[in-house]
Amino acid sequence: MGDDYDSRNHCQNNGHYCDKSQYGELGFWEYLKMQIHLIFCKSCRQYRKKNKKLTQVIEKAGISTLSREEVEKIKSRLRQHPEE
Amino acid sequence: MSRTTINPDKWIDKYSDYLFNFTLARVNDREVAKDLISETFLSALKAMKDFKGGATERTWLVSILKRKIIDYYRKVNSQKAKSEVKINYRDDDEGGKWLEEKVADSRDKNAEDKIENNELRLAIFECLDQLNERQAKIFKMKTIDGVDTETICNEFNITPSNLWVIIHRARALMAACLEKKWL
Repeated sequence: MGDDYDSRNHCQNNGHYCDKSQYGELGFWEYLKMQIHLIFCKSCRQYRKKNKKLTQVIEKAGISTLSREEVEKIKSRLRQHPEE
Repeated sequence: MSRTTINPDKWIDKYSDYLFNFTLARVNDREVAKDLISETFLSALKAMKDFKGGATERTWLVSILKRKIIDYYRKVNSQKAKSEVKINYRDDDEGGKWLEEKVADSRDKNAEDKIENNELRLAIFECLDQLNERQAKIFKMKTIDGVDTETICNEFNITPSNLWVIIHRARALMAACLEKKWL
């Protein structure tokens, strides 16, 4: 059980919790565990801050992507004009 | 250069989103943007032999795309000269808008903000290039397209915990890269 308190292990889990929370996929208990860990762990607090910022920056950029169908259309258009 | 044997499909997967955002910032119309990208890929494919590898592939594609965008605006402008005569300013349907007003983006963002966001978008794509292909694909699906975990796991045949490990690495790399480039 001693390994359970290995801080590296805790930080690793916390990193995943933190990522999940960025996508709104964090369960209640995971959220609670994360909050408790954050009280004690400075490096995880820093990671969380950076992680949040990354989410915000990507949201702010408002990237538009092509749907899969649209990409397929471009591909088939290209195939209709085979060079060589 | 060994680059001459390129698979166009892979190429499209890799660059279409970047080129799409680049174009959208300039023409503001999805359909037009898609056409311009297709034409760019076509021209690039034909000119493959001329690609010296001096620039990166993306820079090269962008230089072709830029010419396509300029051509597009030339065409639009010559059509506009004709249509202006026909606009009936008493017609209440359209409220007598000039074409320029119709084209103008109505979102109340100022121009500076827009330029900043365009640059940010491109910086994000440049950073995505630094991830490996699989990482980039998964990160993009999850973060930008908002595809749910289950769908991604099925498509790549991975477990959710695999997915979160990949996402974690990708986020760390993206954060570091954007911090250098942007933040």
